[in-house]
Amino acid sequence: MQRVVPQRAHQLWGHAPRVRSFNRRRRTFATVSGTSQPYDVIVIGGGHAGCEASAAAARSGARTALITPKQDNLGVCSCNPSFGGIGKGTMLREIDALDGVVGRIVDQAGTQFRVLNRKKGPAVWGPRAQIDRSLYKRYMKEEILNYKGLSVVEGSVADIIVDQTQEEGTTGRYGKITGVRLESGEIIPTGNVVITTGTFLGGEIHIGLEAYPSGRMGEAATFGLSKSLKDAGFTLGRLKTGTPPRLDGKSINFKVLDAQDGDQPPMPFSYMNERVQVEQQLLNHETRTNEATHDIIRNNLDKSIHIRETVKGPRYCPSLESKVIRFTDKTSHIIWLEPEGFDNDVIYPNGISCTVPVDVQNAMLKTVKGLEDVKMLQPGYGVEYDYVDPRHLRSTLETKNISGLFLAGQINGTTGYEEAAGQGVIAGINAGLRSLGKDPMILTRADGYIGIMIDDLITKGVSEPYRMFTSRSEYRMSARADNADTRLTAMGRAAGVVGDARWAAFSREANDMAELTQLLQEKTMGWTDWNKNGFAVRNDSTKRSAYELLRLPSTTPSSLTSLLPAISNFSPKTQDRVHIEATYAPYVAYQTVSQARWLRDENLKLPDDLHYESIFGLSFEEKRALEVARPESVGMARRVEGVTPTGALRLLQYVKGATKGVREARMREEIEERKRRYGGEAKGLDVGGM
Amino acid sequence: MDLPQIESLGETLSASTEQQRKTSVRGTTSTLAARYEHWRRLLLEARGELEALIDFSEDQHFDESPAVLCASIADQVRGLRVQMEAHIANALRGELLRNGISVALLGAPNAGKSSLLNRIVGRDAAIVSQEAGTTRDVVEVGVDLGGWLVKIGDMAGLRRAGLGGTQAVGAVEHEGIKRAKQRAIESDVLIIVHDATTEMDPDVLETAQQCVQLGISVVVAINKVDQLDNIAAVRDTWIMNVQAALGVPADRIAFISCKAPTSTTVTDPGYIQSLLKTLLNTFENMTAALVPDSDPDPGLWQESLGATERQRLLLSDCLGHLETFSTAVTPHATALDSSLVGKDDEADIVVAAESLRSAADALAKITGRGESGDVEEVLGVVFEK
Repeated sequence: MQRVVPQRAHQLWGHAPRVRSFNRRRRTFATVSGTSQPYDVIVIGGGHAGCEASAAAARSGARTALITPKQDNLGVCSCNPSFGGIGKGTMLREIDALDGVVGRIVDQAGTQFRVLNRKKGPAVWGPRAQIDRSLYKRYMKEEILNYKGLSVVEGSVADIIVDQTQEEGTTGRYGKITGVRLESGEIIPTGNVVITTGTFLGGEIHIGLEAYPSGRMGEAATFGLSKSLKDAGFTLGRLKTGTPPRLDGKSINFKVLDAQDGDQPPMPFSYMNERVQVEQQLLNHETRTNEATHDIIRNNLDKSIHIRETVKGPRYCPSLESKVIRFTDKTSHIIWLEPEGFDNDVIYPNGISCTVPVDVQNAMLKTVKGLEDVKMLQPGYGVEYDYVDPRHLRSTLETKNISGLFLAGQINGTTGYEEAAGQGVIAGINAGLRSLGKDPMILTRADGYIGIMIDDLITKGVSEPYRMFTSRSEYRMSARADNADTRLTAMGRAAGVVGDARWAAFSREANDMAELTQLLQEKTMGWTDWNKNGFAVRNDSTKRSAYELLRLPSTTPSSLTSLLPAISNFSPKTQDRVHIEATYAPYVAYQTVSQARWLRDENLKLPDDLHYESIFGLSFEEKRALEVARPESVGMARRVEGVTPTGALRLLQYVKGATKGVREARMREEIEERKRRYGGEAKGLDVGGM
Repeated sequence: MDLPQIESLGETLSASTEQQRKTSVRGTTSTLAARYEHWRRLLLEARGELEALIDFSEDQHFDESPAVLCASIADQVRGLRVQMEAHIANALRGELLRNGISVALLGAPNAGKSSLLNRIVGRDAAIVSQEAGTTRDVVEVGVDLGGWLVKIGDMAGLRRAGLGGTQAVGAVEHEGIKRAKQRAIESDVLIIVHDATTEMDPDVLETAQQCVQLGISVVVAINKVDQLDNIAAVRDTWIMNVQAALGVPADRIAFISCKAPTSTTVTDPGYIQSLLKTLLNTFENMTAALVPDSDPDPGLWQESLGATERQRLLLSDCLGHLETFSTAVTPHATALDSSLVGKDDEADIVVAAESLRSAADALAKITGRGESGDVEEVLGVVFEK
């Protein structure tokens, strides 16, 4: 909350006075005319998507409010005490590259840092951090409460307020956002709302055969919103997920288990940090289930309503029950015992999320090596919740039905903190930009994993909770965890959401990398000279640069310093980054070519109100699929499930023809307009024949 | 109907000979598309295994080590490559059937090439005379021989100035000879015409040897046997000489006479029919489907003759990606190309997986299913494990 300047002045100027006042005027001009709104953007929910969305909207220069029932809930991690991983870690780096908050908070609260897939090539390295749950919450709360341009309002949102008077040019829409109503009856007017309510929409918790409405253990679910969204024409679906029991570390016999240490030195998540806050890292321990564990689960499968239901759960993060059911031939599954913090003894047993009754969970745990005398602090449970079919969204995450309404996080059918935060930052940025009358900021598939995720969601929808994998990306050679900043920071700066400090740091780093690259590229030699210097190069007539030589397995920038002493002027971080760039250079070049081809289709925009029924040559199935997805471009239409290449071609023909028609119609209109306006002065002028 | 079927239907409609029709009809069944789809699925499954290794090896336990897994996938891919190579070779053979077999007549001047052409096509397509060097430019004639579309090129005779006291080679004849050699090298079948009454010509021999090395099928026609007193006497000598020079099997050497038949009672005047039989035999060998050792079902490979050029080119594309894959998963590659090998000598699985993705995309293009949707299929494979 900003309290340094008086409220009015703060509202007027924000932290980018000139741009702001200009845009405010424009905006006032366009729609709100006269009504004074306290906030440009309201974010509902303070989880990972909500924190990131509200901070991003505030950075864009919009006056933003985050509404949460309790301030203490800001930044709560409801499942595992860890961030990042393979694919997910890259998304966190992308959020950080857009000047988001999560990366910096993880660096402050981390208890163990480790880059997964270290042996498999930098394209799929997955930075991961275990965090101290209470530290994370504390730092995130501090960050949000003190964020410039962001206010936190305590309260429960009962509903959104939608103006259904259809303005011209808003066909196909249900209406536009005008504010939110709190449970207290108070109404806060605003033009932009980001809903990030996670599993709280119609949430229901399952333990054994018990089921009760709740979003998270001990917190109330939200129902009014579900109804409003249904009324506005959104299709809602049901998904489920689960979380494992929590254990008392004092009752675990760690001595008999293998320990896993973090990386030394730990690599920070944020590009802004050279080091993490606590370098003394905690250990993970590994143990395994066995046949006895599986027998107990098998014998009690009938005692869980969660797994009996037909609602879809995640395939990749399966509960112990589904592992036992699906992989009958496996006699053992891995369990990672992860500490939840520096000064408590809570242990999170990763890999055994379950929903059987409490006594069964207790018995099951005791069959596991090291857990013979374990004390369970909290049972595992399942959550079933409503999600909104994400095909209702645009790539800005604004809904197609209600303008000014954005959805981000688990409500869109995703799972995971990183997926939520990644949507949050994009929804927040775009809600902010929209409120200021600026152009949206859209990430394409080629820009990074966040772009992949959003494109997948809005074109394909979800049939199970969506989680990021590197295999979802066709650009993983070029969109990596190491280069999120070179991909996104400049883009974020142009949109006005990257602050000066980060921009300066990034410019410095990018400059260094460019200099080192040039240095390496300029040093070229034939094979004899390379061999003389101890580099095994194939005998042929091509001259090779030191940059190309970095593709050799044993060559590193530091091994080249004898030839190019200037290399040692660059930091090890810069050297490593240039090394990775050099390794993938040929593949990146190849991907850039296919990317250009792909962008051509992506730039062929489809109108929002396209009447698919009237397009000749589309099959019935294609028409139906396109009606649901309403893709924004021909490229996106190609990715909609059920659309054949022939169908895409028909669409292309139609759109090209139609745009021609529209152009002609507009020209005719303009002529009419001129006639009307200048009819008096330009009598006799034969404009009709133009 | 799938895309390959539609392509074949187009081919069938435009077929003008029996063999063209037969080949095209082969492609109109859905077996071709089914095979491409089968291969694509194999690649997806292989990629799924790699993707599982990339995305899940840290939180799931794998029974096989990455190296073992890579080796087993590399084995599968190797088998697939053999099949694809055979398919491509067959597609090329099918193209011979559809686009026509190119036959060139090669020989010394006045050996009777144009006369032979006229006898084969049954009309006076080329000017013939007693004068050596009558034919200057290449004369192309298209003809349906026993169902095969054949393009026969009659060409200038090869000779050098000063040999045998003949006159100097003029500029036009020189160009004619150059074109003749070029045409011979580009042909699918070469008929070498020899005058039985003279020695073998060294120029002709040289070009013929060149063609044999290029893998062009060669048929030798010893002409003007009517002028010999006793065919039997020289027959074996000719066969021996030709075989020594070109390594052509005896059943590809025919003795003929192009002189207009004097009597209608002879069943095969001038033995032209037996030469044609030899030719058809050669065509049949050239256009029969190759069956790889690993696959005992020849019926399947008959179909691959019906593959179109578009399909063949995309398949070559796919093969190229599979080669990249094989290099990527084979550790200890040498020199600069070992960039494909990741740190610590472990195969760069990402590069390997990406090449499988590109390879599967190429196959998807053949059947016209586009590229989308395969992520879910791959994930399907991953979660089965």
